[in-house]
Amino acid sequence: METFDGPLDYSTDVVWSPSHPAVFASADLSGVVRLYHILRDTAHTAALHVLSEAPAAATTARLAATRLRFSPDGCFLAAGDASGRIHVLEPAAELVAPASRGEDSSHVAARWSRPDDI
Amino acid sequence: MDEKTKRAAALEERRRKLDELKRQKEFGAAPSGAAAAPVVAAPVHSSGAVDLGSALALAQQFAAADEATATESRGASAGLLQRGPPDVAAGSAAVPTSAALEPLISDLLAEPVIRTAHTDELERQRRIRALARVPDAVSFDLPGRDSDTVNLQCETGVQTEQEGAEIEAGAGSVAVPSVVSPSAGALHAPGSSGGIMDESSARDIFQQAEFGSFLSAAVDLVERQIAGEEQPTLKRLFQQATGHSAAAAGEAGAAGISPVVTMLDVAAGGDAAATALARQAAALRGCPVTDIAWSSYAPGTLVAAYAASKATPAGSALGVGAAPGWAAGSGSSEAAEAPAALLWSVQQPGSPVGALTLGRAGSSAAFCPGDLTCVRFHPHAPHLVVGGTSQGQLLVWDVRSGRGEPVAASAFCEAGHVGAVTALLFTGTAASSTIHSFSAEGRVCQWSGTGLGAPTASAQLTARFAQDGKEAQRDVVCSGACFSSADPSRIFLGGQEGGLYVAQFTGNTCTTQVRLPAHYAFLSALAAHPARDVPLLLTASYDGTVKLWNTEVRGLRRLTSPRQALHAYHVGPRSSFTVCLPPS
Repeated sequence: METFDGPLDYSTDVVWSPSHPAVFASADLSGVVRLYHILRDTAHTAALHVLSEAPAAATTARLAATRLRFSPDGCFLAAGDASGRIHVLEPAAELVAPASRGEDSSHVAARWSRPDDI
Repeated sequence: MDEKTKRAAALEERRRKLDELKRQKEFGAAPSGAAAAPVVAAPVHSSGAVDLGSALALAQQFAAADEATATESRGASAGLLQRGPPDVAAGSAAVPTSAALEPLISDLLAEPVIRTAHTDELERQRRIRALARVPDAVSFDLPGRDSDTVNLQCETGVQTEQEGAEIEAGAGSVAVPSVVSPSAGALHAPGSSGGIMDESSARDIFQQAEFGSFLSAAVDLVERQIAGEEQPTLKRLFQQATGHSAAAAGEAGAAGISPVVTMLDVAAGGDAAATALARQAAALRGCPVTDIAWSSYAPGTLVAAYAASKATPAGSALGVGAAPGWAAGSGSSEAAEAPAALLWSVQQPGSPVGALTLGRAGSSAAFCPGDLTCVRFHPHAPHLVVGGTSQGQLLVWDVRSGRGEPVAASAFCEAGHVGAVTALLFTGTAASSTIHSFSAEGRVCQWSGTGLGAPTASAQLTARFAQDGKEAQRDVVCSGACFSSADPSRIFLGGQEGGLYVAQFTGNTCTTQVRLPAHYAFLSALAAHPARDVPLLLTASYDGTVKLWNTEVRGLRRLTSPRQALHAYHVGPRSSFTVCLPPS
C-alpha cells in the first residue's frame, strides 16, 4: 500500500495508450509508472511499476522517470529516467487492447474509431 | 377496492416524504428524525486503518435501524424503490405509478442533500486548505424508521506546518437517500436474527462489493463537499479496512505491467564486447532522458534524446536537469562530440543501433551546442528524425546515412526560436508536410518540408492574464503542445506556470483563446485522446496531479465561461478519479 500514499511527486509525463481507448500511463519523479483504466475502479491504478536500478532488490534507489512513450502498437511502454536508462515495459494483455466482450467493449466500442488507421 | 385506496394512500405518503426531502434540500434543514438517530463513530487510528470492531458495531446498528423495513423490502427487486411502502415495492410491475416516482428519486440522487458546518464561505475555504489528509472520525447518523436518509459525517484535523500544534478541524455531512443503498437488503442476510447480526455475517456484508461501492461513493461525496479539490483519503481507508478492491488493485498492480528490457543499464553494459557505439552510449550514462520517440516504421525501434549535462545524484532525485528546457546547455566541445540522441532497438538492448550528434563546429550545418530537448520521427518520412534543442534550433537526421550528423539545421534568424524547443507537431501529407515547433519563450514556428533553414511562418503566443483586477496581455511560457484530435485547427498548450491554453490555428497565426489555471506548477505534459470523437485531454504537472479534461467542442464554442466547458477530474496518488464523458 506504500505506493498509494507515497509523497506527492512531480508528474513528468502522461500518455494515452494508442491501442486501448480507456488506458493511459503517467510517470513521476519518484520513478513510479502508473497505468490507469478510466472505466474501472479509478481510485486505484490499474498497474504500477517502480523504476529502480535493480528491479529485484527493493532497497535500491528509485530512478526519476522523465518521459513515457507507448510504442505505436501499444504493446510496449518506454520510460526514460534521469540516469539515462530507458526501461521498456510491457502492460498486461487486458491493458493493451480492449476485450472483445465484457465491460471494456460495451463502454467504448461505440465511440472508439480511428479513421487514420485505414 | 380496499387495496386500491391503501395503495393510493401509500403513494401519497411517499410523495409527501419526497417533497419534504426536496424542501429540506433547498433550505438545508436537517432531515426529520436525524437528530434523534444514534451516532456511531468509527475511530481511525494513526496508522490509517479503521478499527474493524467499530466497523462491525456499525454494521450491527445499520441492521437494527433497518429492521423494520427489512421485512417489507425482502423479496423486492434490487431497485430504487426497495425501501418504499410494501405495496409499491412488491408490485413494481403491476403499479404503473411506481415508474412515475422514479424521476423524483433520481433527482434526489443527482443532488443529494448537502449541508456544511461552516456557513461563512471564506472561513470554510480557509479550513478546507488546512484540512487533514487523514480523517479523525467518521460517523453515521443512522436513519430512523420514518426517515429516508442516512447521514454520513466525517471530521478531519491537521497539524499545520507553521503553527505546529494548532489543529484545524472541519466537518460536513451529507444526507444520502437510503434508497440508494443497495446494501439495504443485503444487510439482512439469512441467519441474522432480530436485526442484530453476528460477527461473521457482518463481515460478509463488509466484503460485499455492493456495500463497498455504496460506502466509497458516499464517503467520496462527503469528502468532495468538505475538501473540494483536495485529495480524498477516506475512500482508500475504508477500502483498506474492508479489504474491498484494495487487495485486488494491489494484485493488478503487480501483474499489470512488467519490465522487458532496460537500455543503458549498468549491469547490462559488458565492456568486453563493447562496440564503438556502445562506448559512445556509455558516455551518456547519468544524463537524463529528455525525450523518447518510437518509430512507426521499424517495429521496436526508438530514439531517445539525452541532456548533455549529467545530473548529480542529488539532482536526479530532485529531477534537476530532467525537465526539458531547464537543463543548462554546456558549450564545451566535448559535449558536441558526445551523441545527443541514441537509436535503440528492443531486440538489442545491450548496444544502441545508432547515434545522433548535434554536429560539429565548422561543419556545413549551422552549429550551436545545446541539449536535445525534443525528438520525433517524421510521420511522413520514417527515416528522418526531427529534434529541437535547448537553444531553439531544429535539426533533422537521416538514420539511413549511418553518420550521426544532422542533414539539415535551422538557421538562427529573427523569426526563429530563442528558448528551448518544447514541442514538435506535424501536419500535411507525405508530399507536403509542415513542422510546427513550439518553444519556451512562447514562439510557434512553421517549417515547410524537411529542409529547415528559416521558418515559413512565426508567431508569438500571447494570452490575457488577470493581474491585479486588470487584464494584461502576456507571452505564453510554453511547456508543451498537442493537437486536438477532433479539430486539427485547435491546439492545446501547456504553460510553465501551470496554465492550460486553447489556441486556434487560423492561416499562419496561432491565437490563444482560452487560458485555464489548470495546475499550480509547471505543466509537464499534455496528451489529447487519440480517438477523434473522444473529447478528452490529459495534463500532467509538477504539482503532483494528472488531470483529465473534457474538451467538448460544443461546450467551448457556446458556453461563455470556459470553466463550464472544461471539467477537471483528478487522478493520481491519493486522489479519486471520476470520468464523465460529455455532459448531455
